[in-house]
Amino acid sequence: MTDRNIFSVFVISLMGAMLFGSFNYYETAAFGFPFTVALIVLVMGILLLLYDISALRKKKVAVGEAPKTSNQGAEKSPDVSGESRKKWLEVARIYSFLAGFLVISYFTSYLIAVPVFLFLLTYWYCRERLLPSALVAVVTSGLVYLIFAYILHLR
Amino acid sequence: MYDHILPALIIIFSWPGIAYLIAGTLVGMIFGILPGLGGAQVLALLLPLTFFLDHNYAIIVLIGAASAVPTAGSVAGILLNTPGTSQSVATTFDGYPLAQQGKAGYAIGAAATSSLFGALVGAMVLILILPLARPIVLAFSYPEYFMVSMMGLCLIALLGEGHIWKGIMSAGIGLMLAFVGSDPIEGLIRYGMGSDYLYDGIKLVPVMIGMFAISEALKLLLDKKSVAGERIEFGMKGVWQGAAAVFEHRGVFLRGSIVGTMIGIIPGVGGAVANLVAYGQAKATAKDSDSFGKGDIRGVIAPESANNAKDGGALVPTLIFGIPGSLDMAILIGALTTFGLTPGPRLIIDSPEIIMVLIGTLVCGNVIAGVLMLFCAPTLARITAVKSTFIAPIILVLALLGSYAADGHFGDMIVALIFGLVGYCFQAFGFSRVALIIALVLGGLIEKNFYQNFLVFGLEGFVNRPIALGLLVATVLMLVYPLMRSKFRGNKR
Repeated sequence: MTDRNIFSVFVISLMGAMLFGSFNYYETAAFGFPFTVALIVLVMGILLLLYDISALRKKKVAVGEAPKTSNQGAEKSPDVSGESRKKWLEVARIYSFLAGFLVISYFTSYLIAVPVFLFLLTYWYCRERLLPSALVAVVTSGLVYLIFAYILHLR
Repeated sequence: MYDHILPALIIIFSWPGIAYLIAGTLVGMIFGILPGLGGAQVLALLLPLTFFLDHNYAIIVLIGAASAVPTAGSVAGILLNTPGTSQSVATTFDGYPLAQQGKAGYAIGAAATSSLFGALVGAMVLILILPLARPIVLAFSYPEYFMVSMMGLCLIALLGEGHIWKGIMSAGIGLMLAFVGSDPIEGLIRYGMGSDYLYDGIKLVPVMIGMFAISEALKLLLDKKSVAGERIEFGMKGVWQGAAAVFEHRGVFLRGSIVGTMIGIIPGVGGAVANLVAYGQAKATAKDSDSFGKGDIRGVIAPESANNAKDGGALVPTLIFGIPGSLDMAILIGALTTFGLTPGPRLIIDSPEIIMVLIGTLVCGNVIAGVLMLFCAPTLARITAVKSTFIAPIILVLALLGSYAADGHFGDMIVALIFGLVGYCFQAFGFSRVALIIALVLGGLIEKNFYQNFLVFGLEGFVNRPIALGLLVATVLMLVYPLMRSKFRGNKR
């Protein structure tokens, strides 16, 4: 299973759930627009997934490798285990910083969350030097205060 | 229609209109110069900040920024061989070789001048076409609006970024997202999941911010490199000769501008295609085409005039039918909607002054960006030396706070984050972000017009009204033609 296929499965599941949900108002609302669109995207998604899987198998057979069964693939597939897995781990790391930003904003204020987030992301994640990281955090926080708190009166 | 030109100019040039125009243009230029960031990102980030302004000033800020992006995008392309936006790709083919020959000033002068005058040509075509809009608009009713919306959506899915199949799927996903919330006919809540937040549907602003600003910031962070990568020593030598070269090669300039305007009119095609087609056209029609790719100034003039002229063209379907001609226009439609202005046919009839403010800003923004480029290109080019590891976190903060500022709702930040990831996946797996956003914009319109047509004309309204039938046939042909063509080619082989 490649990361592309995982995304296709996500789209199929989402459309399946929306298709199922559309039965609640299929008769009464909007002449079944959600039903029709969800059904079309669901079928297209399934066809796309099948095409991608068959293309991947052909590619593996072509290079002299036996096609893997689905329960073997997830761990050893080159797409997930190599560069791709690293990339998604990086995305997850960035999102953990962003989740932290939301938590601090929710429980304290964005005026606290902004400098903390900026400093930690540039210094810790991006591995920039201490002084430039602190400078970016301070200058941007000042700018954010000016625009959002002072001009737009955002609380 | 033309009576409103002078009042519109007064709004733009009186205080604080002029300040907003200059500020918007400068922000647009910065985003244009930075590779990876473009019109969609600057509009998505600026949009929440304009909610507190009068709608005229908001339009001035947004259009001023969007109009400056393609002009500034050529700077990084010429100096670094890294186009600031996808709309400046073809400019690098001859712009960078010119810079390598020590003629960067010459290339930038030509790029700025052809951008400036290209935008004027696009705006002129738009102004000439607009009076024809009223009879077209009056001939349209629910079935025609439904069909034209469907046609726009199909065109965007077919011609936009990524594969056609995935383009259609992206548009479908966008439509499904548009169906979330209260249904326009009976007020029934769909896909609400018991959450008050979803009662009004999925909001456009956080989705746009996520899809374009957050996903691009993610990409920049993952790249973790300096935008420029090398130090640029650049002088202003030859800038004015470059400007003069545009007049010398006025045929190339005019053809590029016309190609750009025409491509802009087709919804969903965008500046990148205009830029490349104009370059190809200039090369194909040149008698001495061997010099192209080695530093021929015509290879800078043609694409640069096209990518600015396309903005005027893109405003034609946007203003006449409410069908966004490009991604920037889709975001603009979202912005107008948040100001209570319904883009499309009624806007031309009810508020022509807003249309004129929009066109006036497009022209003035391009003039300011062009002049600034001629005088300040070396200074502006230094922005590219800033590391993406400093730019991306700032974009993330501004994007999240911007989505929160729109309604003061914490849930908007979560939606923006979710769609940031969706946008990143869409890019990574070849789906079309443009099709999703435009479907989200048009979804309600399509559903409402379909229902109203059903009540007033019945289903036969789609076939017994000539314009609706013509649009239906054109839509079906558009969808079938690519499949037929590939099948025909397959049989031939």
